[in-house]
Amino acid sequence: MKRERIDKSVREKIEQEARRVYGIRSFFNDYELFMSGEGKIRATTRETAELAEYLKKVDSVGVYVAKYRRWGLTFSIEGSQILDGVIERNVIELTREEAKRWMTGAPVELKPEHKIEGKFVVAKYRRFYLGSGVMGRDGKVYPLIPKWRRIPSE
Amino acid sequence: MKNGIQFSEELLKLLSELPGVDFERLLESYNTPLPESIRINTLKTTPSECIEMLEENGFSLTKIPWTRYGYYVEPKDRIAETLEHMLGLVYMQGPVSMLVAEVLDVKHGDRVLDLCAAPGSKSTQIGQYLENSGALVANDISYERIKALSSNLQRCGVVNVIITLKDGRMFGRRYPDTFDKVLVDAPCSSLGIISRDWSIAKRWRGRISERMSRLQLGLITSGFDALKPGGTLVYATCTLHPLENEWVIDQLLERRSGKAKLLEIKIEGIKYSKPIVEWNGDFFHPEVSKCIRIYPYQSGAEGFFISKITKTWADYEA
Repeated sequence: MKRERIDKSVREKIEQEARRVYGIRSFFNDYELFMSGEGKIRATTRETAELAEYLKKVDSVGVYVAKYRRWGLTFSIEGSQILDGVIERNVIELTREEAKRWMTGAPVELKPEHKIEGKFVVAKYRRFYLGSGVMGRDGKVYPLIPKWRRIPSE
Repeated sequence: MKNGIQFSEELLKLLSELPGVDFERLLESYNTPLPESIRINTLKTTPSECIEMLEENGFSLTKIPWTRYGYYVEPKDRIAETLEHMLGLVYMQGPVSMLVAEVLDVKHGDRVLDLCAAPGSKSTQIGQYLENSGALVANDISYERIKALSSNLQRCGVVNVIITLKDGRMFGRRYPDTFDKVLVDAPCSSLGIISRDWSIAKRWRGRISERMSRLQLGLITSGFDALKPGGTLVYATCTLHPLENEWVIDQLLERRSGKAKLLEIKIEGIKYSKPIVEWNGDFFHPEVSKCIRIYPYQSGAEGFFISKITKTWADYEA
């Protein structure tokens, strides 16, 4: 798997986007970030990153936390969970039934209490973040849950 | 044929000749379905929070006495499709499988190598105990199996992990004296988990165990060489054949004479047996007696062999 440490200027650009869309002021500050192809960002600890430099035949390091493309920044489930407490905007709170629906990959309806700006949101059930979703033109939010992570729909 | 399971004559002979085994109870246990069990992932939740969530949704949990975060769960066959599972709050894992990482006794800040890591049950457990301190190298030789390993580590939120795709037998030579803890959960003939997959009993042949034991010896030797002096290695299999268990330890003690030392394993809440000290007329090294065997009829679940080894400072002090 391709693995490039994200340099300072790119990191600043991503941080700006995180601040603009999600109100995030502290963007994985305790972690080393790597770009691993297709705009995927992986995070790990400094000690782990140093050990990875020393090892051969490394397949991957840390966890996949976000995807950064020209059209926006989205978070994986783990990425949004690591950012617990620092995501200030575009969060939608779901009921258990909605969260289960979200995890099947099916869209959920936006409610009047959801204050959304732009096209990306992060979903939350109880205190657990569920990753990013994209606003559809039909007013529904479409979750970005990878297929392997989906609850099979009944 | 014993109650539906097809055993080869060769396997029945082996099982009936294993010293210290209650043969009838062993065959009976193979016909008993394994209980379903989970480990609560404290990287993401707390036991009380997770238990509350699962109980609200109709599950009943009973603590597994020999693990820190393991629970039997009922009803069966439903947990894999719950929100809690998909979010990584729980990990489905066999009750005795959880014991292996407990015996490794990972400490905060340890540098740990899991040499045969896929699909990741024990790696995710080690990651949980490290609490994202130190580092975990989760290695496997198979690209296909690494996909499952990677998915499970992702789902459990293990940040301090490096996944390597490598023949585990190469680690020791390339990275000597590097890790505080090494787990060699070796590929094996799986005679301890026949109740999970009856075809194991049908497929097993003596030569499979012979071939496995050579591979296992290569893996444990490599893992041992990669261990720092003073560090701890746990070697475990889910099989019952002495060639894949006691013989492997005996041979390591011979190959790394003076450096490898067995440690006593102390566990509570589960019955277990002493290891086999003599097989086919050969006596194993006396240190081998510190290993343990857990038969399926003792655990009510999987059968395992577990050993704990340390590397002495012998050569380094000279």
